[in-house]
Amino acid sequence: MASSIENNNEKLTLKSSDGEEFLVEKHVALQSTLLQNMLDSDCSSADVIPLPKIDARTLALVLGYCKKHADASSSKQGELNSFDSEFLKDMDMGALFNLVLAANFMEIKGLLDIAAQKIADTIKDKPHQEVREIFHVENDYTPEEEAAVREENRWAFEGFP
Amino acid sequence: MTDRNPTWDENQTLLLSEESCGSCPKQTMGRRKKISRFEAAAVDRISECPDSVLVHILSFLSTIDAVKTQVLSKRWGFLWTFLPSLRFRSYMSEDSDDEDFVAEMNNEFVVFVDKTLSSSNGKLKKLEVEFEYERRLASNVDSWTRFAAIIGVEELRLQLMPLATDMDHKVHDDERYELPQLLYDNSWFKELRFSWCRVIPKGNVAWYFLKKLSIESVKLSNDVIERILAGSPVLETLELHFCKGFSRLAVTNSCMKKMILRVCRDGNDSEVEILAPYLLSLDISGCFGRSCRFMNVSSLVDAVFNCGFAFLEGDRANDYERCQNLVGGLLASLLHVKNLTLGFLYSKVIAYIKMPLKRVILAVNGVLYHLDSYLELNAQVLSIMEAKGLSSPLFNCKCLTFDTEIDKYVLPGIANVLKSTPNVEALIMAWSYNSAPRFGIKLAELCNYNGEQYWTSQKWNYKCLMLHLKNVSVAERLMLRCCDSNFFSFIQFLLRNARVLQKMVISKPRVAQGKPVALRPPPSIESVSSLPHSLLLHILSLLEEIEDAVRTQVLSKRWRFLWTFLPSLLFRYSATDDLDCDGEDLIAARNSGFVTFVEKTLFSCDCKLKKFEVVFEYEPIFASNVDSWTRFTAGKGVEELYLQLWPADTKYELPQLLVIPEGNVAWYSLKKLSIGYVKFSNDVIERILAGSPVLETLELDHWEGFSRLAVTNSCMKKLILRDIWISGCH
Repeated sequence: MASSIENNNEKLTLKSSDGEEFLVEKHVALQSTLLQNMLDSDCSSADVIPLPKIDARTLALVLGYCKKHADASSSKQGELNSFDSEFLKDMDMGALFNLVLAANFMEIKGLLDIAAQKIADTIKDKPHQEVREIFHVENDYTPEEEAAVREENRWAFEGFP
Repeated sequence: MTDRNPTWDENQTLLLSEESCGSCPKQTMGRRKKISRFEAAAVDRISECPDSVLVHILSFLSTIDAVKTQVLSKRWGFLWTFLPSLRFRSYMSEDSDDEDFVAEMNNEFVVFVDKTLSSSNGKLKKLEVEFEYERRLASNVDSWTRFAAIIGVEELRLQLMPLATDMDHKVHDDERYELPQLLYDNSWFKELRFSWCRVIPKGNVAWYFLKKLSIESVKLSNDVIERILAGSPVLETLELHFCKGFSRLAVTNSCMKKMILRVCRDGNDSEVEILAPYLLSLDISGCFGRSCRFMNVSSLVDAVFNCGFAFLEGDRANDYERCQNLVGGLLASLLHVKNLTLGFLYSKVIAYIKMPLKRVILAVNGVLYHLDSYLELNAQVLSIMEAKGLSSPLFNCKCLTFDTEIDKYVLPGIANVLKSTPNVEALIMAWSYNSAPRFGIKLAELCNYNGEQYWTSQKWNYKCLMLHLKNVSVAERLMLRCCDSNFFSFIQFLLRNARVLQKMVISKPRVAQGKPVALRPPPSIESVSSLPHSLLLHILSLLEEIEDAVRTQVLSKRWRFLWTFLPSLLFRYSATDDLDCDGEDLIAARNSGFVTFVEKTLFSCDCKLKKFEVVFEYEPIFASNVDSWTRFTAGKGVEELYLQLWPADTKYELPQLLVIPEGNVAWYSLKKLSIGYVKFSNDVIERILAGSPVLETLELDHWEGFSRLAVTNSCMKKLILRDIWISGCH
């Protein structure tokens, strides 16, 4: 028991793309399958683990999520759910994309799912023009091509301008 | 497991081939697995291409690689034999002195060519052979060329550099491959290229459709050239590379548009005379013997003249004069040419001349003069032209290009050119890699000035700077090459003295990676499109309605086919739902719209579909459609199938492919079965249960028509029964 607590207090250092270092407890880091695999495959925890694709701001968010989920026991599922829904509230799209990429890279399934779901919810039931604006998708169709594509699956576009 | 090769019936026009199928019995997927299943599916996309496309792809491979593809699968076995062009090349490494080894390599090569040619199907259009030729292989090469001539090859290239050379690396004529006489009479050939062969037609040449001829390192007599030109009435392009033995090129064919000559010195006294009245483009480079004369090149539009002349060491003064005369004469005969590039590279000329200017392109109202030379020569040429009553090309020059490094050695040259181009409006500074070589020592003696102070020491008033120069542009490559004090002092000089300058563009060199970029935070991701495919797909799969996913196809081209990779397709539709009055026609119309949509979506679905769900108000007229969907999903290896087809009038019968009421049921991997609102007999239930050995959950909802439910399967964990009409379950 004592050893497991000691183990839990072990810390490792993560380094963001912009050079900031984060000291993380091991059990928090284990929320990430990527880190888990790295630790399993005997990467010494003394080393700094670089995360070249994740900037400090995003990494801080990710670690906040991990900490909450690692610390909460399974009995507090309801609490976690409300944390999750609060977590992404009012987040701007850019941060959300960074977050979903980070979760994908670090293999944190729960975070990936809620972030992806949030993006999906934004797409849902919106005319494509609005989606394009929200997500800054550059429309590279010519008007003729776009009309042809719409015509292809006319049924799906019923009721959408 | 079901067989996933394309197995649909004649109703379906769509034929999909899915060769690799790695679907395993459904298992609890680990976290890793779940994420990775959104990665691009391992589908053999290339085999979906039609033969013609595959052959086209193969044609970009070397022949040996193309032939290798025959092992891929049966279909690939013969694809390569339809290749319209075959290229055989064998290179020996430089140091392969071991004669046995080389002979062995050549033997293998010859066998390979023999075999490949004999199995090639008759559509061969192009044949190219390149290897180190040995005399003993003459009969093999003969058989290939004969083959090519007979089956109507249009493009033939033979590069047969003889392996055997004498002490001076000279090739004896006997070691060269002699073209068989039959090749000279051929009406298929459109393009020919011979290197190192012996080209000696005994009779007349008859290449009536030949458009392009290229001969390299071959000894040609005036007579052979005459015969060839006489026998090639539609020849458009003639290339002679390092060919010796001729002194006259009389190209009077009216089709001849382009000639490229790479000359090499053929004895000091040789002269070449060129007569080509219809020629539009001429490119000559190399080193002539004594002289080169253009008799008639009156149609020329483009000309590149990049030649030197041989000089006799002992007689410098005379040679110098002769050079001037030659150059002057050449320039005079080329002055009508619209785009002229001149380069005098020959180093012995250069030794006499004092002012360095490495390469200047002078564009005069669209006429391009390209002087790779020293300015004194340039000036003398100009004076020759003035003496002959020709206007100086520099005087009218509006756009001036310096193609040179800006180092201290070229500064006087630049200054001189600026002096003699009073009307120049635009100045371009560039540096192409093929700038002339350096002539170190002598120049260093001459250039005993400080490069940085050169311009401040200039007292001259440049008319072009005072009155005309408006635009200056500096190419990026030059900036990379010489971003030093010489360069900047020249730019400073320009900025200070060019009074009417309007614009100076200095292209910023790209910084080597990893330098200042790190100082800035990484740009935040603004666009959803910057996410990788797998993530976008994950997001799409979270949309509840398939229509939402399909609609994303109009966002942009990248999104166009993204949704077709969705691993699960859920179609739910109620035609009556949001209708105020239920006009039956309208319902039917909307339903058929839905059915068409499902059909289209399903058949454009690209990857391994894992889950397929349809909920709609079924009508009997759609039976065949639903049949085709279920058959499709069965063929695709869908793991989860959910059909909820409700109006009760007509129950939809599952096609034989899924349930086999007459025979046995074989659902060997089925874990969960849920059936509702269906009427089935005891017998059917028994069969289903017997055929589903690993079934874990059975859910029956509003089932009727049976009286006994004997669930003896050992895996069965959960049984849910709702509203069972006839009792009798265990």
